[in-house]
This record gives sequence, C-alpha cells and structure tokens, in this order.
Amino acid sequence: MQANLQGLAARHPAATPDSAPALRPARIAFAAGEQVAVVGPSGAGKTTLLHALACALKPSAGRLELDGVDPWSLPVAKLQRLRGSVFLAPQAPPLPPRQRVITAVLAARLPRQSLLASLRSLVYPSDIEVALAALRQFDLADKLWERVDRLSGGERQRVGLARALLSPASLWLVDEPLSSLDPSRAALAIETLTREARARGVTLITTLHQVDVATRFPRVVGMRDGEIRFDLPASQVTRERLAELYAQREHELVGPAPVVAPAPAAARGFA
Amino acid sequence: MNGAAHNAVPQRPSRSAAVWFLAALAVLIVASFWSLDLQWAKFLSADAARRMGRFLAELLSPTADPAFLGKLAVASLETIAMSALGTLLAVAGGLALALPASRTLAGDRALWRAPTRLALNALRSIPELVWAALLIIAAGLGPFAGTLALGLHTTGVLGRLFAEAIENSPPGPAFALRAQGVGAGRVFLYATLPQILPQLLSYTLYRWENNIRAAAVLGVVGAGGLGQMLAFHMGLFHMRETSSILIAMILLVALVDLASYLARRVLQR
Amino acid sequence: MTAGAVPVSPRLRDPAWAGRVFWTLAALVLVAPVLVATEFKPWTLFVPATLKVTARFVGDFLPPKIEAEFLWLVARECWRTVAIATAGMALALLIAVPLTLASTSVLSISALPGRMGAVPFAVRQGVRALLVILRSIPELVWALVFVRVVGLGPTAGVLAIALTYGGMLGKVYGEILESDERHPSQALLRNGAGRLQAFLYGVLPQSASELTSYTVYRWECAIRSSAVLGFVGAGGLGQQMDNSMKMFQGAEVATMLLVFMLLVGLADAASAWLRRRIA
Repeated sequence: MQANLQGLAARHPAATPDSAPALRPARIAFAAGEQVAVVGPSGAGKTTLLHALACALKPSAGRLELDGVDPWSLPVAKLQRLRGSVFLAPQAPPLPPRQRVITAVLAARLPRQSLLASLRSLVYPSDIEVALAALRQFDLADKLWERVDRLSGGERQRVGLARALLSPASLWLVDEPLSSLDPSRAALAIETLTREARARGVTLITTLHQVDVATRFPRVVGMRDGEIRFDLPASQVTRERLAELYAQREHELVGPAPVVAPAPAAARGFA
Repeated sequence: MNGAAHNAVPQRPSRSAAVWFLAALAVLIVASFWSLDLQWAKFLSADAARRMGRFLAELLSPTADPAFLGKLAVASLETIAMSALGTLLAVAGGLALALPASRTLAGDRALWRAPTRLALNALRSIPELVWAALLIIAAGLGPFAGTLALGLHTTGVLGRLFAEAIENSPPGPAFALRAQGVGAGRVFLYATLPQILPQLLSYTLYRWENNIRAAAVLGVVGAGGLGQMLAFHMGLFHMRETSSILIAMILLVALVDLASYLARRVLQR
Repeated sequence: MTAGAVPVSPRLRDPAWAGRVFWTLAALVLVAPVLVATEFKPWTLFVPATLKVTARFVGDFLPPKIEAEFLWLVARECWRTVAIATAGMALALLIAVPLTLASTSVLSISALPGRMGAVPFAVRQGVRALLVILRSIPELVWALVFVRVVGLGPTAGVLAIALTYGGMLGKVYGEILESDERHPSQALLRNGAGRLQAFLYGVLPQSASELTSYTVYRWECAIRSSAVLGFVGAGGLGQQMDNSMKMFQGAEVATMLLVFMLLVGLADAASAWLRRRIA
C-alpha cells in the first residue's frame, strides 16, 4: 500500500484545540512495499504519525492518502473496510488478560471475517495451524494455548507482533516493537517482520528507539518535536545527524551494540 | 477533635453543622413516632405477650413430619430454581442493556446512553416484591411471576454494574481492533469481554446471593417458593410448620452463600 | 534459538475443548429442571385471555391518577413509609448499640491481661448468636409475625425493621469497631476507665464517621423495605399499592410507582449527600 501525507497535522484526541499539535504539518510519502524506520527522542510525534497513518486519528489539518484515496472522505463502511487493510501494533501489546494466545492472535483476522465465523472461532478456534505458524516465527509455538496474563512482558510483545502475520493488511505500522525484548529476541523479531513484509509486498513502517537497528532499514526518518527532521537512506544517517536529532536527550540514544530498550519500558518485561 | 478538650483552647472549633444534623434527626424521629398511630398498648398487652409467647414456644418445636418435609424440599428447590433462573435472565438482560448504556470511546456521542440508564434505574428502583405483585396480574400466581420479578429488578442492578465495568475497562485492546476496522460487536467479544469477564461473574454471584434471600420471601404475595408456604401456614397459625420453613430458609441462604464463596475461589485462579 | 528448534509442538487440538463441552452439557442438564421448577412458560403471558387483562391493567397506567385528593393520600402514605423506616431505625439503634457494646471484644476488661475469661466469652458468643438470629430472618417474615400479634398497621412494620436492622447494624458495628486501632481504648481500660467511658473516649472518635455513614446507608435501605412491608399489611405506600393492584386500578398504581421511584431517588440522593459530608 502507498501512503502519502500532504501537510498532515494531528493532535492527541484528549488535547485542547489550542495546544501545539503532536504532529506538525508533514509532507512525506511511502511507496508500496517500502520498509521505513522512524527514530527520534520520546515525544517526537512518532506514535502520532503511526496513528494518523492508521486512520485512528483524524488529521487536524492537511490530507492523508492511502493508495490514492483520502480515507476521511469515504463513507463509514468503506473507511472501516480500508482500516482492515492497515495493521497497527501499539507499543503496549493490546492483549486482554485471560484471553488465550490463540484467540488473541486470531483476532487479527477479524476485519475480513464474517460475524458468524468470528463467533464460531470463539467456540472452537479456527485456523489453528496458521496461528501456530505465525507464533513459531517468533519462537512462541509452545505458548499457543497459554493465557495471555501468564506470559512475560517480552512474550506478550511478540504475540502482539505475531498478530501482524495474520492480519489481512498491506500496511504494517509497528510502534516500538523491541521495547521489552532481549537482544537475540529483538533481532529475530525484526528479521521476521522485514522478511515477511518483503515476501508479502507489505509496506512496513516501524518506530524504533534502537538507532543501530533502525540503520539496517533501507530508509530512516528522524523526528523531533512533531517535525520530520530528516528522511534519508540508511547509509546517509551519520552519527552527527543522530547526535543532532537527540541533542540534550542523549540518554535516549541507544549505543552501537543492540541493547535492551530504555529502562522504563524494559522494567515491565521479564518479570 | 477530642484532643482539644483537655486544655483550655482559645477558640472552640465550630460544630454547628453537626448540631443542626442532630437537631434535624431528632425532629425527624419524634415526628415519625408521633405521626404513626403505633399501638404500643396492644403490643405490650398481656394478650399480645401471651400470643407472642405461644408463637415463640411453638417456633422452638419445628415439625419433622416426613410428608411435610417432602413438600418443604420441593419448595426449597423451587426457591433455588427461581433465584438461579432470575439471575440468569438478568445477566442476559443486563448485558444487552449495558452495551447501549456505556460510552466506550471518548468521542462517542452514545445517544442511547441516557435513555438506557434511565430504564435501568427504573427497573432497579422497584423492589422485587413490587415487581412480583405487578407480574402476578400478567403471569398468574406461582414461581414464574417470581422468577420474572427477580429477573427484572436484577437486570436493573446488573445492567448498571456491567455498564460501569465496560466503561472502566482498559481501552488498549479495543482500540487496536477498532483501528483495524472491526465492528463494535466483535470488538466487545474479542477485546472488552475477556477483560471484564471476572468482574461480571463476581457481580453475578453477589446478586445471586441477594436473590436467594429475595426469592425466599417473594411467595408472600403469591409468587411461589418457600414464601408462599410460609404465608399459608402462618395465616393458619401453624407455627410448627412455620418454624420448619424458617429453618429451611436460613439453611438455603447459608448454602447459596457457601456455593458462591466456592465459585469465587475457583474463579480467582 | 531459531524457529525450528522448538522441542514440543503443541497439539493442534484445543485442549480446553473437552472442558467446554462438558460444562455446556452440565449447564443444559441443570437448566432443564430449573425451567420445570419455576414453571417457566413465557408463552402463557401471550394467551389472549391473560393478554386482555394485562393490556387493560397496563393501558390504565396512562394517564396516572392525579386528582388532588388522591395525591394527598399518596403524600400521606409516603410520609408514613419514611416514618416507619425512621422509627424502625431508631428502635434498631436501641437494640444494636447495647448489643454491640456487649459483643465487641475491644471493650473486654477480662481480656486485658491476655485471654478473655470463660464467662465473658460465653456471654459475647451468646449476644452474637442473638444478632445472627435477628438478621437472618427477613424483615418481611417478622412483619408477618407482628401483623398476627398486633394487627394490621405501621406497628408491625416498625417492629420488623427494628429487629432485622438491629441485627444487621449490630453485626456491622461490631466489625467496624474490631477493625479499628485498639490501643486507645485498651489504654483507657488499663487505667481503670469503665467500658462506656472507654467507648466514648477511645473507640467512638476514630470510628464515628464510619458508623454514621453505615447507619445513613441502612436508613436508605429501610425506606425501600418499609414500602415493601406494606404488602403484608404493615402500612405505608406498599399497603396502598397492594390495595390498588387488587382492585386493578392501573392509574393509581402508576402514580404510586412514580412517587415511589421519586422517593427512593430522593432517599438515595440524601443519603449520598450525607455520607459525602460525613466522610
């Protein structure tokens, strides 16, 4: 899926109309099948950008085009259908406690499933093999029948990512996929996501705290204070540029070796 | 407050609010006793004392006639059945009304919220016994009217509790599915319901405990169960039978409390 | 660790399935006799003969009866309902307070050195058993008893509320006192203060607001139940409603239901306001 932001600005749903927008008017385009990493210190507007792309936030100015169509000009039913082809993985994995992993993963199929089929799947899970295959990619095959609240933070996050493999979407928006993963699991997760996206021709946009991982993406977008500061091929993302992007926020710039994410996010993991 | 009493404090804190409250309370109580034509003379008369004494004496010797105990067992089962089915109907009704009565999205206009909440309040504010007396006109004497009465009142109670549980559930999982374009009903089934299920079950069990107490006395207006037997035998001054019925009621309530306690223990796992 | 290295492949069958089937069947097996026992036959509601009676009764609801004379009667009965609840609560307090003081171990003098004496212990258990008996018999049953003893009218209602609520208040008051800090009252008792003095100076200050709050809440409940007690002849709005229902006077019933909801709403609001003020 192609995505095109034309001077798009957005603010948090809870924000007052006169507060500064979380995303200032941005002009950027993503081609079908492209893989992009978005970096920047916290509060840069990365999450807002993903929510605006997912049609979860109505733009306060400017225009969004997905495959050449402005979703906000569509009637509700068509907008819902379009939303079905976008998958947003929030940073905190949105898994209800007490639900089983199988059900949580299969929930990603709901947009293209009839009401009857989704009711039936609650009685007896449909597509067990597909769910198992997706979980296996993230090294979670043995958790298929486990309850979500009995998983560790890192396992929950990987279940959230495995959902993407089952969704019928052609645009994946992944928010901080590595925040509670240890280095080897983080490498596996990123490798799986990029490989699967490439195989399916899916556009992948992910925000990252780990700049070293980000520079392995073909294209890197740097954001700060709600603005896009740079949009470059990875080879041109130099130390100096990153230092400038993270000026006064250096503690958030995670060093060269792939390390666990900043403390507050990681604290929730591995309990 | 009381620490100020033991040395001469320059200024005494004002207690006028408390004084007014006590004065109003005293007036209310005096007016209540004065306006009701209470028949203390009759209550304290030798005749009443004798009757009360006979009552109590006979209450202490419950009957154990097997035929009567058989009828008592049937009525007890009927009471349990009324309370259980009434609660079950209320769960269905409460869930159906809780959905329109809750606002799940910040921007949701929730047009049906206010009218549904009003209906829930109306259902709730009419006690089970009044519902039963009303429903007997439509459903006739017997446990069916009592079951429906329990169901209606409890629908009001549970509907409100369920709606609050839905509104207070963490929004993350529902948001993720909604962003994928999933419809409201399935968002509820796949994201909200699994989160609030333990709470719903715990409310339901609590209302069941309540309903067994209500079901035991609903029969007094003719709505079946132990209460109907009680009203009948008490009307004929069969105090020994009355006594057995009361014992059955107390046992029944204790039994349901125990069952509910065990169910809670299982659910907490 | 790669994907292929997973040692156990979980079975591709839902392990919870057997349990689900079992519990569903068990529920169905249980529901069938329940439906029989409650004579659950919704279709009887729609038999033409029944439907006609219902329709006439409900049709009569609109418009509710609002003649001045009738409204005056309803207002008087409303007051009587509140008065029965209030008088019943006042008597319930007379029962509950002494019994609480007698039953709570906080004010035990014999327990000061360590263990409570045998006689005081037996007395306390006896008082607790009395409280259990008082509250485990529903107020409606007490009302039936007293209607037989003193005849129809508010006396039976007041006595019924007094006994049941006396038992409830006594139990909860006891729990509130026991959950509080014991040092203040024990210090007073050790210094030779009497039980009542220890209660007033050591116990009451810390638990007064909680006790009042619970009493106000129970007063609100008493208003609801005093309306219900009318149905067995204990006076107030309930008795009037029962009469009108027996006469199939839908319009009168409608007025009284509305007034009753209003009354409950007011009591609810008043009690919520008072409890907020106290807290």
